[in-house]
Amino acid sequence: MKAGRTERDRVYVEKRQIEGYRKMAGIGTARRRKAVGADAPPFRDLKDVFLMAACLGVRARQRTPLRDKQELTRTSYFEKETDLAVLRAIAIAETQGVQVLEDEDAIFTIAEEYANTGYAELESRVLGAGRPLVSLTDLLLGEYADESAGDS
Amino acid sequence: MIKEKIMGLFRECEPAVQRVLEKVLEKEWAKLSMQNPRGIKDDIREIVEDEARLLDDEA
Amino acid sequence: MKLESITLTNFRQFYGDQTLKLARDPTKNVTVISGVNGAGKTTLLAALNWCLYQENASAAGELVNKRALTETPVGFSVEAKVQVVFSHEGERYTVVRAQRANRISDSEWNREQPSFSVSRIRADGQFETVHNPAGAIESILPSSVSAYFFFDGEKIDKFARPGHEDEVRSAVKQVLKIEVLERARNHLAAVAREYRQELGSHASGELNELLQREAQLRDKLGTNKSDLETLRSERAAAERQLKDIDGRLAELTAVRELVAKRGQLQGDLTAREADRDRLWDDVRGIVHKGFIPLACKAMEQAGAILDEKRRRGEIPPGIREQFLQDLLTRGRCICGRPIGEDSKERRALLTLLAAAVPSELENVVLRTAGDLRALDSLCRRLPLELRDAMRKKVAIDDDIERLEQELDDLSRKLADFDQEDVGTLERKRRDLCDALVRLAGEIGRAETLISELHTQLEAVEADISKAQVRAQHAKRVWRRFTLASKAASALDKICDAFAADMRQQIREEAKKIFDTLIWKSSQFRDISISDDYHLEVLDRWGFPARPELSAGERQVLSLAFICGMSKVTGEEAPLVMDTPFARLSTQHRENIATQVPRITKQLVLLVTDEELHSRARDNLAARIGAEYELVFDQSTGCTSVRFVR
Repeated sequence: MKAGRTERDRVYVEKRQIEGYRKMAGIGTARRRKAVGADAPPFRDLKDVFLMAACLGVRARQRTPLRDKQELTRTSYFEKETDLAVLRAIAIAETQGVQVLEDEDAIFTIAEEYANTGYAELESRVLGAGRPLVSLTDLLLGEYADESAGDS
Repeated sequence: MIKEKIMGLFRECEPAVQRVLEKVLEKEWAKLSMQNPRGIKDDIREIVEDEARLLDDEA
Repeated sequence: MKLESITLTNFRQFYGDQTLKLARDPTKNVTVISGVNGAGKTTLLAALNWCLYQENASAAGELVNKRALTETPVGFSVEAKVQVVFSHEGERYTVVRAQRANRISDSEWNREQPSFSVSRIRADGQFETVHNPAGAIESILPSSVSAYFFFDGEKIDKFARPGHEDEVRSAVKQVLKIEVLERARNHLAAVAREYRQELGSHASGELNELLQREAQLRDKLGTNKSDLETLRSERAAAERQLKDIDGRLAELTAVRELVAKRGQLQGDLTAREADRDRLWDDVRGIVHKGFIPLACKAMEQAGAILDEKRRRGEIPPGIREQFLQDLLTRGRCICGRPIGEDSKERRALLTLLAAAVPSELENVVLRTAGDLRALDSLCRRLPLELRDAMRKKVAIDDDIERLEQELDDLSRKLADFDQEDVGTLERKRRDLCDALVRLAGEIGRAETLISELHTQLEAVEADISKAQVRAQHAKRVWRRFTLASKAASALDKICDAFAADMRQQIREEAKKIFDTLIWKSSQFRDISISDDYHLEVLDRWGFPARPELSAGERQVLSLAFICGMSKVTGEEAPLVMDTPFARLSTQHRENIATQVPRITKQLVLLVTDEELHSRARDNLAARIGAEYELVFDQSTGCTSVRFVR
């Protein structure tokens, strides 16, 4: 924590999305029966859901500012080598510069707004028909295929 | 003459009996001169047999 | 029979050949042969009888004429011979009987057996020797009958005497050929008796008994057969049930196998499901970082920017640290000057490094760049891993689907089986096996019984056949028996009726003749021949008058009888009468002489002169066809025949 760099200790999502996030992370009612295999919750952690939403938003190339934000989780939960690296990469790509690396708030804001966009698709696919994990897998396989096929 | 007379006496018998009598009397007549003609009974029996055989066939 | 001639050769007192031709003409049918007593009349008759019948062959001494004998030298032979020629039914017979005597010595003679031959000339003119000459003569005029035609007065007297019924009967029978009827009847009766005896040995009711028995056996056989059917059905049912049970037991074994298989499949399924779960856990692990490849582009861009900045020297001062490090690492300056291990250049660099103060930003940048480089491989790897995992998932899903299908099938199969337990089935099975053994025994017994019944039935049927054959046979024998006995009865009836009828006819004829012959006709009403052959004359009061008949009358009666018989039978036999008139009165003689020629076809009278004289002879004269005289030579003791006319 150095001066000159804005820090963030919470990450935010839209209020109405919280339930979905929790569901996808397997938090709450799902814990009553021990879900295994394909029935297991698709994400281990809320941050994972957020990251997926954010990347989907990046794929969609659209940011949606938060209107009614609510705290989702702590930023300290994000893994430095992987999670943060990606968020930084997103921010660098977004700002086309490295200066943003000093602005943690900016990094997360960018991420939050992309997540806000990406969440809709994520929720509709994962929490829609079928088992969430299977749906998520389908979703990812589709996205990967699109990626390698060359569309952006 | 007496022969015919005698034969005439059997007209009322059945034809088979008549035939037997005719033959038997012929035979007896032929052997009349002998006191005890040998085998005549067998001859007579034969005559009866012959006639009866015809009746057998009819039956 | 009509006599033609009689030739005697050295026969008794007849010396040499003596021939008499006898009258045969219908109107002149009387031959008179006269001679004194002893002249040879009787001998002539005897000669006739000897020739035809060999009668009295040994009586009255020597047959061969004595004179002829003495005239025969020693070593020579002489023959006594009689030849009779007669015609009968259109044929002409020559009968020769001869006896030869051989003179062996003066006093010794050898007499041969008489030779006898009969020859005839048939109606067609053919000459032939008659075989069985004696039989031929017998059939023409039996010897017994001849006695009534060739007779003497003594004989004919007999008939009229009481106590001679047998003779009368015998005469009638013989002339009438009743003998034939009687013989035929007796023989037929004997044959009938034989057949009857044969019949007696056949049982009559046996056929019915056998048929009953057969019916019984058939019933029994029917019952047993239906019982056998029932047993066989039971056995078939038991066998079916046994098969069922065996099948079920086998099924249970199969069930056990299926159950085992099911367990196995179950295990496999569980394993695969676990595999699937694990797979998804793996997937979850992949997916956990799955966002990274999504940000590939952004990361590329960022990486590019970072590199760019670095290249262009816009790297923050912290980057110099990196630069210095690189120089030290390379061991050579950018100008090319080597930086030696212990050189001042090196020392100078180290000092710089120590003095450098990394900035946070420099660190962050460096770190980020480094992180991004590390994440790059993930970008490529994660999608591959995910796809790989999905491929594995598909394989597992297939396996699981297959296993589930198999399990489903199995379950359905297992669901079909009854839950009967093995113990019950085994018990049932044992019971059925016992039942089958018992049934086998019963069936065997039933089959044996049926087989026995068949054998019995066959035997009975064979017996029935035999009985039927016997019955057939009996029928046949019966047929013969009835035929023979009917014929015999017919003969019986006929015999009697015939005899009675003949008696009647003879009686009538005899009466007629008697009436013509007797002069006391008014005294005598009727002649009767009773059933037992009493020959009687009835007086006008209907009483038998015979004892009152005189000898002559009796003779006449007999004569009448014989003539009557002759008439009735139509027997053509010549009447040869030897001294018929000796006892008769004149009237009788006259009558006889008149009538008799009319009532016989041929009459030969052997008379003495006294017998036939005056009126009688006159009456007879017209009908005399031939007359001879037997002349006896006292000196020679021989008779010769002299033809008169």
